[in-house]
Amino acid sequence: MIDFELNESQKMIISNLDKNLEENFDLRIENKKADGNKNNNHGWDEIKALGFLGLLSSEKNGGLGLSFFDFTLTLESWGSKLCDGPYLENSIIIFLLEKMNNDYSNNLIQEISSSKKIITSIISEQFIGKEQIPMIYKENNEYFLEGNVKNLPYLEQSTDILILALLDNEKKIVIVDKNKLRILDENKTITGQSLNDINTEKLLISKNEIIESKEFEFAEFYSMLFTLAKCAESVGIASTVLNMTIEYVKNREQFNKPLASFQAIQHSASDMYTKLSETREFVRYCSKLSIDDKNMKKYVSLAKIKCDEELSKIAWNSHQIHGAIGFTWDYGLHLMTRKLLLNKSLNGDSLLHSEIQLQ
Amino acid sequence: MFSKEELNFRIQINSLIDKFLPKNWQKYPDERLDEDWELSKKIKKELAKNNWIAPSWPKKYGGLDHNISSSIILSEIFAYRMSPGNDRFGVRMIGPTLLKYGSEYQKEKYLNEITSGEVQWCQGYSEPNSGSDLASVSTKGDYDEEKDEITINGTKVWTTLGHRADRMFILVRTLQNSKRHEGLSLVILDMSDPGIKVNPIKNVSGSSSFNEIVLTNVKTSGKNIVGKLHEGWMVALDLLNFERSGIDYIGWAERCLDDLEKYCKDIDILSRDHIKITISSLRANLESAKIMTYKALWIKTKDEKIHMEPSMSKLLATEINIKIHDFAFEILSKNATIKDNNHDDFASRILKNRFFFISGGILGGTTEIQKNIIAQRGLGLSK
Repeated sequence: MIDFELNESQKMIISNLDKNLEENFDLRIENKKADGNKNNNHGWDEIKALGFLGLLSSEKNGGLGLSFFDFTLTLESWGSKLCDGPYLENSIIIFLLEKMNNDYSNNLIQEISSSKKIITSIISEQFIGKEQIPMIYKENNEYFLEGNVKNLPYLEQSTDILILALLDNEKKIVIVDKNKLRILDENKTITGQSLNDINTEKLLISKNEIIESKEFEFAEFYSMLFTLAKCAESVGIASTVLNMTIEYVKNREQFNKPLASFQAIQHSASDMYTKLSETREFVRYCSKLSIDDKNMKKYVSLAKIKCDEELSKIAWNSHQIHGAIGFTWDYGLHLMTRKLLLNKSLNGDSLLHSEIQLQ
Repeated sequence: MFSKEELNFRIQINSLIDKFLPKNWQKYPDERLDEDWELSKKIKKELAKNNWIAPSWPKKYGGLDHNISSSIILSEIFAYRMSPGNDRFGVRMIGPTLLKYGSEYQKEKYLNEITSGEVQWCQGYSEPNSGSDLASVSTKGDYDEEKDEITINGTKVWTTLGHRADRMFILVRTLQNSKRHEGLSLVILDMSDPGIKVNPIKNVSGSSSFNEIVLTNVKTSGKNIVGKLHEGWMVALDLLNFERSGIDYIGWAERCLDDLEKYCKDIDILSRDHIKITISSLRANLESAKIMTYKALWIKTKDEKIHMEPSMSKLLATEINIKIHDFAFEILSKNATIKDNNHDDFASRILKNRFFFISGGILGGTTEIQKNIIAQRGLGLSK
């Protein structure tokens, strides 16, 4: 049955999260970060303190036992305040570990939910062939990991990394203690987020560190869910762009009347609002699909195509409506544009997703 | 999104259409033509036998008390199959309006007529000098309190299916010299009433689906005023919101995109990157617009407020329908422009439909009017 209503519990979660994330949200600090002068991960501490890392873990494992859809609703809030940190990565890892439902996975879930272990990952990019995949080889009954992993986010906030590696040409997921790794280089994204290149030079790993999952292809599901989660985050970012635009046109006067009274501005704002509402509803619809639904892969690709087409366009239109003030660094509109473009560049391009949806 | 029962309803509706629609039916229904009109009547009668014309209406008015999903499924399938027999004016416009504002007499009489499948409605809103500016209507409705009767004089225009209709809902000015949005009434007319003259107008796609209606001293009982006398503006606006889901455009667009994708496969161009990317982009926009039309229809059942979703979904659905047809024309190119190319049904229908779909951005409030509504009422931007 068709139903678009959010229930009371969902409304409460969003309102609570919005309130918490709003408190320390400061575009001036975000501007310094984008300038490379500050390492800030707004929202990350709040998420941990609120216990939201356990949002997708079952009550049996000490979590809140909420749905993936509930999680994506929190990502709209998360994105709207330009939050940063490995919230998406750890939540999705928990969601997939829950599907495995064994002692190892349950133990790991409890460690992540309680922030004892924080995992960072780039397997989505590895899975689609955009980042390198290290090799696992066996020598004298011992396993070794060999190779580089580039552009790994959130290394500073994490205790472990989860990577895709090849063992006899078979894709395996490996969780490695970050202290065992050699950091090669540090890069910055256009939003000021740190990325690290690491080397696993003949790293001895135990069999336990290799996740075996017979029920599903862990990397493929991770990649699909991470793509959808990033779409929800981008919807949140674009909603802040729209709010800034509406506030500006209502208050800014030219020719002795508010910009908002000009029909050209009204139509442009109306287009932004319509496209954002449409994209939001579509991402929400896709997030409600079951991971076992045979159409989910296709719909995630359609959501990614839709977000890539519309959301950065909303930001560019907003710059145009803002005029010169939106061209300045200090005003901060560019922060949302940068984050939207960064998200657009992740998880595959329109050709990849076209091929998936046409399969 | 749909339950098992609702998906089963989809199968049943498709089977019903299969019974009547010739195989390889490839044309947009043209109810001006007698054969299409007869087909439309047969299908409506068959739907009526099962109470499927308006499944979400109460049982006492010929419905099934279903939720809105059944109505969505029905409209979407009829549009996708390009089948005649989908009563837009009765089921989706005046029907819900009567359910909300109508008297018990009106509900009993007109809703049961609609669900019987035997009565066709048309809409009397636009006038030669009153298009997007609907509040400027000048068709006069003189109310005689003693006789409880209204006498109507004026001209309505762009009246789709006016030449087939049995009844019309018409917006008239019942208080002369009143403020623009006041002194208006929504009235129901019988099209066989003396004084109604219907003049067909040929549209750019070559058919005459719409008309000019000239009304000279047309008399009707006060019982046919919907809502209160002189207070018809909000009723008329609400009716437009029922009209504006865009669900038909979604069905037509999806059919065109499916056929286009198959056509590209058949002529072996689907492997080209730019074709894959464009088709997928159209698919993403179609699927997302579809969800918005569902939301627009759903939200009307939730509360009495005026929402922005119907305006948004009308914009999105008409826009994606045009984009898909434009890309189909780009692919078909010369094949779509030669009139005697009858062997290719897909090619021969695309351009005719593209011309017809110009109307999507005009009827029920133009694209520009929808944007004004969204900006002013939705975002609170002042005039």
